[in-house]
Amino acid sequence: MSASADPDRDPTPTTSAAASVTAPAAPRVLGLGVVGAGFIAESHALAAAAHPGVRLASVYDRAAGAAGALAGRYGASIAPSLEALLADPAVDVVVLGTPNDTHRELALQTAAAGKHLLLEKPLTLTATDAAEVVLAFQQAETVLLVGHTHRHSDYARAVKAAIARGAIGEPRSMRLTIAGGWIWGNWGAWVLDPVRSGGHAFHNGVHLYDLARWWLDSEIESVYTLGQRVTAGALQIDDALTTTLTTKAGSVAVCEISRGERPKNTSIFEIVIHGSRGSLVRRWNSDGTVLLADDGCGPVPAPGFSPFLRQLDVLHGAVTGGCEVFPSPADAVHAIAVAEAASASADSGEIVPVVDPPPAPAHPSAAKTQGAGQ
Amino acid sequence: MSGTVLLAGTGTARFRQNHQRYMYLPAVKHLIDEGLPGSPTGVSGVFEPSSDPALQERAGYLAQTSGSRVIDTIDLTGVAAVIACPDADAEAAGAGWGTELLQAAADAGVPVLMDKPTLLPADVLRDWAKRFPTGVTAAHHPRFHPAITACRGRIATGGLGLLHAVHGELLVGSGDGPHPLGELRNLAVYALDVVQALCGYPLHGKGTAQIQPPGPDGTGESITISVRVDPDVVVTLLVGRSGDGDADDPSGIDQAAGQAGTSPAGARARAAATRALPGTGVPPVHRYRILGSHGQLLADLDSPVMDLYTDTLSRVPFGPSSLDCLVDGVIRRTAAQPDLASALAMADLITALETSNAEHRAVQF
Ligand SMILES: NC(=O)c1ccc[n+]([C@@H]2O[C@H](COP(=O)([O-])OP(=O)(O)OC[C@H]3O[C@@H](n4cnc5c(N)ncnc54)[C@H](O)[C@@H]3O)[C@@H](O)[C@H]2O)c1
Repeated sequence: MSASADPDRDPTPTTSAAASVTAPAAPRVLGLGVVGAGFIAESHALAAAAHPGVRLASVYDRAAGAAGALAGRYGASIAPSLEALLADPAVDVVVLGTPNDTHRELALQTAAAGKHLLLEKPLTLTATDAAEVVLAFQQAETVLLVGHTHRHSDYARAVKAAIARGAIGEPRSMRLTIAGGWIWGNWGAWVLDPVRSGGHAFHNGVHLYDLARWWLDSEIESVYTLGQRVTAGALQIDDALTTTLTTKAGSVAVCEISRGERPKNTSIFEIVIHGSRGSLVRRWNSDGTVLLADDGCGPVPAPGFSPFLRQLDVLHGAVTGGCEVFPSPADAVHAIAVAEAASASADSGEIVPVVDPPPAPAHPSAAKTQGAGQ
Repeated sequence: MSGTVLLAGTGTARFRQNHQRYMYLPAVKHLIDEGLPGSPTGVSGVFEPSSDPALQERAGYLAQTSGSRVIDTIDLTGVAAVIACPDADAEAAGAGWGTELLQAAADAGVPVLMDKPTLLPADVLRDWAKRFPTGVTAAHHPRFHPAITACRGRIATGGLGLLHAVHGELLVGSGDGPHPLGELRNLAVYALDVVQALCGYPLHGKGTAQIQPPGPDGTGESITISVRVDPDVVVTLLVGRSGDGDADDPSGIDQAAGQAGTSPAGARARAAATRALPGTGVPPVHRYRILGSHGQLLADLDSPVMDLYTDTLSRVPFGPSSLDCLVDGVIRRTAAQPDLASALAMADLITALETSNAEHRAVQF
């Protein structure tokens, strides 16, 4: 089912051609159903509030209190169950912000219900599952967008644009570091459970792997990972993970993701792209502000345009205008294949090839879910 | 310890590098100009017995600009330190003067600064490391950069807790061009030596190196090193060179890698060193992020420097460069490390990393 089945909520004027010439058509308003009202859900709700073509319609969370709080803040209804949310005609698009191990199952249910989906990263916890989910949306002829939110951020677009205009020549090697201190709560946090989160390669690494693949414009062929349990030896996952990716084009990317750094509230965000004609470098103080305070020190991120709003707009364009999604589902599957190899490499201590699952069979109406990106 | 400096040898003609002219003499002159107690008083001579016209031309220029003369016998009278740039090709052919020089210096108790030993034939370096265990310092100058010295001090006294990672970049412009023995041996050695200095012990462990060969447009190699050093220090280094270089370009990485410094005498070379990336008017990227159990250090070797805002943005460096510190330390005998054994260990590590690249696998070192 697509949103066009619900014209009552669609304020887009459908009157005369003259009217559409004089006044630009207002975007069709899509109803958003949020599943999982935790940390990241707030960012999606804020983006929906800022997008004239989207409204938060319904919220479901296994923890009713969480659903109630989010729904209350944004004037949405509370769904009593996932099935109810998926059956709600006011919901055109589901935003799935639940723990990583639930993604496959909940995404397949969403596809079966005929809803479009903005699925938080990681797509799934195996590449085979990822391909299965993509195929399900192709067959349902609905949109699947995976939340590789960094692709929509100011910095990531600026890097891509600089490389594309040849500012550094041919890119050869790069470093991407997102490193900070502990944010994962106590031993009960699902993120610390490798079965639930997939570990750091899946939980946060996919952001970096996806950016490297996009910026270097080449698929990742093999990886070498150095993992560490910095905060405590009893951790079941590496909280500091450095993965070196080699692309098919021969370029190399060092991707470092860490939650094990000190001081705890330091946040280091580093980008170096080295090319045949120069280097693009994000300095430690590139955001302009450095904090030296009793409760923290280090660079302070500068606010920019919301990547969640841009991401939501991509989704809106895909659902209402048939635009290609960005990143493509194929890229999201590739990121999972890289994460799988990265985890295997951390375990074995050896270079591991990336094995992409076989591409889903072509589907006659698959255009919407096979976006080639921007 | 006050005395003169003997410049011994002018390098290997095939390597294009002219380090006496663009690195060591400017540092020596800077120290002479500073005139601090214990600083060198002059250049005693330029020892270059080779008849190779290219090397003789280099020697003549050095003698002329340092107010000394070219000599073909070793004379250590009044010499406080020797700066040696041996001819690797002559040493490989058994026709070099290095052993004789090192023996004479050892006998006279004069310290020797040895230009990049990892470029020497392996058996020569092995032999010298065995015969001259003390008194010779490998000229891995970035470890003497003031920022690295500050970091080393803090780490050594526990001010960062236990190290768990070092991540660095050494990305330079064309300089004197791609090195015939490869940038792992020529350039990455500096970054690896910094890591060794920060750790404070020889590097052993396991990891990989990937080397992208020079581009068809003449641009240099790019090297990515990812290793775990014992007991558990993750190290990644991005090393690379852009552009195809110029034999007479004084912006050689060897200066650029260690920051410009303020020598009035070396002003031209230093100014040139700040244009190491072709066409960009900026110095190389050379920095380290050092992570410990109780904190982190961010060291930028493009320092100490002030920015000068006029019609253009330019730079006013201050304080000694890494080369100044190295040469000063050798003369004052406070820079015994890295010795030849350390350089030999580094050469072995580099050989292991070359194997990793060639066979696309992680190697032990
Ligand atoms: N794009 C980004 O930058 C970004 C940032 C953070 C998190 N994420 C992703 O978002 C997802 C959620 O992460 P979070 O940090 O918000 O987690 P969270 O723990 O804060 O929230 C998860 C919520 O899901 C609910 N939930 C769990 N299982 C459920 C189920 N079966 N059905 C309905 N609700 C269920 C929980 O009760 C909780 O409220 C994860 O996949 C994570 O990887 C993405």
